Amino acid sequence: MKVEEVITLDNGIHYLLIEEVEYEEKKYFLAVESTEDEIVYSNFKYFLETQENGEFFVEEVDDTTLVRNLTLIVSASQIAETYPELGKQMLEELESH
Amino acid sequence: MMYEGKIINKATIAYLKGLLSEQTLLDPLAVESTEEKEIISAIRILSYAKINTDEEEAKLAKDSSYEKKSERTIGGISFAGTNKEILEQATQVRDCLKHNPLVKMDSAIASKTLYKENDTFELTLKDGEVLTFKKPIIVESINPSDIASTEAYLKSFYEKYNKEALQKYYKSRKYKGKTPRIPYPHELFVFTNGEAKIRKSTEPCTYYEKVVELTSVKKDRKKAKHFFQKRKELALAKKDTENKKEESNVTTKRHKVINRVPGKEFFKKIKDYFVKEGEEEEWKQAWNSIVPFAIAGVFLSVFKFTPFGDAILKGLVSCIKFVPKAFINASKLIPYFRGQLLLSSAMLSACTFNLIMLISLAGVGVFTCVAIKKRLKKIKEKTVQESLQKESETKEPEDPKKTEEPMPPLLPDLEQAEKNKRESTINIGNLSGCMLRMNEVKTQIKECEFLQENLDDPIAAQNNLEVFFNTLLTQENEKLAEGLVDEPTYNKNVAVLTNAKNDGTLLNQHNNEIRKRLDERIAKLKYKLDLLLEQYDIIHFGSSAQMTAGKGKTI
Repeated sequence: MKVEEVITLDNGIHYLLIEEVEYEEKKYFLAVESTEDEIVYSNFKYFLETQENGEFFVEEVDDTTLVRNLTLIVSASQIAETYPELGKQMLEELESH
Repeated sequence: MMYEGKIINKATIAYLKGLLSEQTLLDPLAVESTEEKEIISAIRILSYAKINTDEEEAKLAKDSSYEKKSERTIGGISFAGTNKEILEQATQVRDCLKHNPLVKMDSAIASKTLYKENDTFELTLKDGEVLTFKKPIIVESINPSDIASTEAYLKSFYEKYNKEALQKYYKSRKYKGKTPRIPYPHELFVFTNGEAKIRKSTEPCTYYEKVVELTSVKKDRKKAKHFFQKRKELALAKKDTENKKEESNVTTKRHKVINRVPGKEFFKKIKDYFVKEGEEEEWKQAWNSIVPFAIAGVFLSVFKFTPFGDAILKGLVSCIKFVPKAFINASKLIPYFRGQLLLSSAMLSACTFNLIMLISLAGVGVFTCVAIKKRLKKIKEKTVQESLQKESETKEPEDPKKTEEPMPPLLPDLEQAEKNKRESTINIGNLSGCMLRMNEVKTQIKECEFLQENLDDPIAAQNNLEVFFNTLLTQENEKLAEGLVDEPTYNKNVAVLTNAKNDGTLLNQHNNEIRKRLDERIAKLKYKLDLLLEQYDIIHFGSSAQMTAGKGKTI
């Protein structure tokens, strides 16, 4: 899976993949619920991507700490564009933890 | 999630700036500190920028001067008109915001912001220009210095339907070799220090805002207070809903992805729209590098299609190879020529070209040989100089007695140098320079030896003593004049010097010092002379050996 794709889960819900985050050698996606026509809702989730027999599975991240870390990573990359020092500091802090 | 994307950014900045604790960042609802509450409230307000017009409406409705004209800023949007009109406008905006991206226009930018039907906004800028936006936008301009650039940017945005503005942004931004990223529709425009910047938000909606510095967040605390309570209630309600949802979906956390397609509406449109800009830039660069070759290619192609041009080209190609071949090929091209004149001119051109080529080649050959020789000469000189320098740095001066040994005869070497001069002119400069330096050193040695001998001469010794005494006396006078010594000390020093002069101590001291210095000087000069002799031998016999093979090196 990759960013900018719309995935459809087995429960029929569509998600738009917005950001990709590599964390502890696992691939996470920040996704937002959307319709087939890509009308998005304010329902963001982090998905852990897994593969089995060439098929993709996603697992919603519900661990608060993990969500926070993923959010920080995403934010750090965004903040780094505007505030390079802050972004750097943020990533360093994450690494130190 | 506790935060939505646009809030987490600001909250994280606040956290990194030390304004919020980690616990608050993690769970803003559990915060107890008033300071942090206010900051969170401000962040929420500034992030959401939603217009909570409920209270404003109530105030306006209660206002006795309902028909009085005024200007008000509600939720960051400036409204002008009677209170009734303002209320209507604010209601329209609020309704619009329920289904559309957020709108916020600072009063400093637009003196009047009116929401029109069909989801359009009419903005009246300070200079009276009215802009109508098809989609709601959100702009906050807190820093007054940003107003001018923001206005200009908005105009640009408006005129070019966002395309040119983004293009301008991309041009102004230093990518350092990276390919310009396709902007997401949910990217935020950030106005900082008068420059339009862009940053990506996790909020997938099209809106624009100015980055809110936390210094300005504090200013909005009062305004933020009444929002916080409401936001808290909403957040709590949302949290409860999420918890319930999570509980109901405990067993279905893991889902299989049954289909995945590339984003169309959300990303592709933007990609199709903007990627051309990036490609255009790349193509422009590529084109700039190709243009000369393309022009040359077109010119040659056109030229080749003419009989004369074709013949000339073939003739030139042949001429580059060999003269005879060129003539043969040229003769084969006769059917292409239309008349004797063309043939003659082509042959003449070919011959001239060939002659020029030969002369050029010969010139290049000669030039290359000369350059190589010069280069070798320089390398050799440099090597010798480096070795001499290295030796002089590392090698200690030998025993002076050793240097008093008879110097190697210079005359035969000079004769040999004169002989080699006839054979080669390469090392003339080096030999002459080396000999000159040797003569100088020899002269200096002789001068030193002469001075040493004269030290024992009574007349010279007396003269030296007077000079030495006067020098010391002058030094003492200067010390007194500068106040370094007082008068009694000065008198005492002068008396000591005079006594030393009279009893011969000063003379002995002076002579010993001079003799010692001269010895050192002579030793160094002799050592230098040895090095020069060695250099002379290297240059002389080395070059001689190279130039006259079989003679051997006599070093």
